[in-house]
Amino acid sequence: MDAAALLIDDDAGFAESVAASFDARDLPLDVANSWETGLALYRAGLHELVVADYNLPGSKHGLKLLLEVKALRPSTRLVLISGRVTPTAADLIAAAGLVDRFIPKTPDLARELIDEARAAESRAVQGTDWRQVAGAHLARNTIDEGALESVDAALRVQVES
Amino acid sequence: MPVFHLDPTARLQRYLGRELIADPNLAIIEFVKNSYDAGASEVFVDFRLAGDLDDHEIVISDNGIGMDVDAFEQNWMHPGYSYKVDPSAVGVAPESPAAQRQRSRVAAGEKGLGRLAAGRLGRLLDVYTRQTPNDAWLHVIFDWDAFDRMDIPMRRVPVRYELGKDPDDARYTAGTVVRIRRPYFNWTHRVRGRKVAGRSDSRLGRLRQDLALLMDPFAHGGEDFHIFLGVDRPDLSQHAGLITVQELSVRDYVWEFEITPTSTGPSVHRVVRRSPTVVAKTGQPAESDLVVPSAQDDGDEEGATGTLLAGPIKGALYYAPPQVAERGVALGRPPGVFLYRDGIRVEPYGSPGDDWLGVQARKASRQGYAAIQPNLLTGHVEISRTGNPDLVDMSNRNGLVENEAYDDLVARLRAEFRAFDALVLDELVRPNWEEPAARAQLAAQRAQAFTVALAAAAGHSIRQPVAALGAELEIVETVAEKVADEALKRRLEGVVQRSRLHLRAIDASLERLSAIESVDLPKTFMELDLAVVVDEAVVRARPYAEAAGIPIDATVASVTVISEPQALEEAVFELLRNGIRATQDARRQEHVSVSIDRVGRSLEILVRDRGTGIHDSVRDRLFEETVSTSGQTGFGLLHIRELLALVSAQIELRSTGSEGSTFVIVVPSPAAMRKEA
Repeated sequence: MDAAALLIDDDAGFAESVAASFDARDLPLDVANSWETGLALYRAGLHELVVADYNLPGSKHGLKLLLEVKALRPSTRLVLISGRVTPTAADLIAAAGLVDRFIPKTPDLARELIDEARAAESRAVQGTDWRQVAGAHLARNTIDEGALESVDAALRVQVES
Repeated sequence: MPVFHLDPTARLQRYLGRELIADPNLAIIEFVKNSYDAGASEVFVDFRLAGDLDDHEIVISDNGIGMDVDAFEQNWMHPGYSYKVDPSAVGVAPESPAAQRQRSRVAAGEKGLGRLAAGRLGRLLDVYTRQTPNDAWLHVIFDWDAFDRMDIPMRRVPVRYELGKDPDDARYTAGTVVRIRRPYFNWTHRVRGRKVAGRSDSRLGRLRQDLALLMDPFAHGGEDFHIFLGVDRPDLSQHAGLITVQELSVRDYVWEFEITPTSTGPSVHRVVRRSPTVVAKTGQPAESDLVVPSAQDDGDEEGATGTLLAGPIKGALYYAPPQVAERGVALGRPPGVFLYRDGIRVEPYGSPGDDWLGVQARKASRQGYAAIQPNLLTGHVEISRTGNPDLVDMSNRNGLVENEAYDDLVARLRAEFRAFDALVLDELVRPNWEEPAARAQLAAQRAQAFTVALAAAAGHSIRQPVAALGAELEIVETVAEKVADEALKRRLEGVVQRSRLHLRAIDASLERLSAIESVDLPKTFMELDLAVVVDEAVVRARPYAEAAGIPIDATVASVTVISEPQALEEAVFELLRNGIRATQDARRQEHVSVSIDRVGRSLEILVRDRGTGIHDSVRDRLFEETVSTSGQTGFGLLHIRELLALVSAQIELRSTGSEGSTFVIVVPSPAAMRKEA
């Protein structure tokens, strides 16, 4: 069975644990360790659910590409996950409106992702809403750069010297 | 009615001469003043110090008007008589430049005692004097030991004189030469005792300094009077030469004042002059001018203007940059505000150790931090015999007689100093406080940014494995669901449940860590009163104290620091709350106390509780993450430590035991902050 969910995370240990937990629930999961691999997998599989860790190298660029591709298939649910958790981060990402959900990396993350994956599987069997696709196609070049900036600001982790 | 007559014994000379004047320099200065009063344009103070002490001599020569036999007898042989204040004085000198100068000067002495001061210097005194080169020298010999008798009146001690004997090596063709022989002590020696800042430690060096300060460098009339110091020993020649009036020309501030009586009470006309450096630094004008009522400063407060009992006063205070002040000391101009009457110094005002204007006291009242450091203040105050008749010299030449006029003088001068101090504080010093404050704030902001970034990175990297472990537990949970063996299933479910609890505890701690980002960390460094900060913290902690039935005892005196009030208040509040909890846990009703102490360059806020103390197992890790005073998991003290570190303050556990604990917050003093900056 093709995976309905795609995980993009460069932490191999974490990705392996999440993949194993999906496997235990008999849920297939594609895993990519970089934006490039992730985008290639997405173009090939058009997953219903894409889970991406924001703190990957070149995340801003990668997220932008992903948003453009996602615009071609609006039913894809995009979930950002991050180990960077501040009380304001979730609010900022929600306000930006670029992604469908933000989940911090907590001990309950895997459970949340399993629930998301199950929902994605149920969506995968539904027909394509072509009207929505057409609308999305028109809007694909209008990603709000400001919103992208605010997401980037909320989730970027770096130690300033 | 029968009458008595006072008839002093010969021994009175000993008291009036040898024992009345403490400082031998003052005795020499008395003769220099006599030369000035005699209209001299020059006076030489020669020290002949070769050979044994008994061979040493001090010779004071001037080109003043000199005396004939009659004038000498009237002036010198009647202690307490002064021709300077006697309009009917005999022996009017022939017209000469000296006589003209004498008429133009206000007499420096008036008591008729100065000559007796020779008894302070040596056992024998020879006086040579004549009015013109055509006259014969009058030579008079005083043997002071001959006066050391109680059995005869003073007038019975013969004082021999002769006419026609020339003084050896006379420097001038006429005038007066005073030769002191068999001196009581050796002028080649150093001054005993501790060194005094700004003062030479050799006898001759100090005399030179005192002579340099004798004439008011700003009063007109002193230009035609020169003092020379002569020394016949090469190793002491550095003290020899013309005594120049030293006053520093480079000053940051000049505060001129003139206090005069007006119909509405005493008023003071002040002119403030600022150096180009100060003008550039402060943006203030080079000169400001204002007239205000003259106040009196009687201690802590300025009082009513009252009546100008002291009489008109004028003078100037100078604030020199530190490097210039150091140069001043090197030149022999020690710091201090000196008092001059008619252009002649009135000792000891302004001398090292004499804090007549309360400059040192002001510094002490500010915990060592003064706007005007005492060593940077110089100046002079001018009074006159005619304008200030109630300001009277003490006979021992050691200041003015303490009376209401003197009190008025000092109170008004102190008010001038205080106003000057306030001006320098506002214009020059306070902005310097702001500079280190700004630097501290910038450092705090950088530290905050670094801490936040570090916390974010640490939180992120810890969250990865935590989330991964959560995923692994999902697997175990799934497996457990499929296990048929009920016992094994329960064990697995137990493992999952407990593991999730542990992970959530870690997650909660991570959340606290990430909260650092949203804490409103120090923003504003300022000059603040530590007592106010502590009071605010006490007010916030009081509801907790009242709920626990534990009183807070706050004993704090006002003290200024440069810091960030919120961080300090937060830290004190947290410590008070900890203390209340600890005391409550110990089931004691004793108070939690907070106080402020000064220790060296720091200030300490001490918070003491009567709790059970901190357990050995956590004492060493007290300020590490996840350890609280009670040994439970928590971030309280870590948070306080980090917060204080951002404002250059520190926290330490001073003591702990079964009788309670004492935590100390160490805050750098403003002086330490300035040094750091």
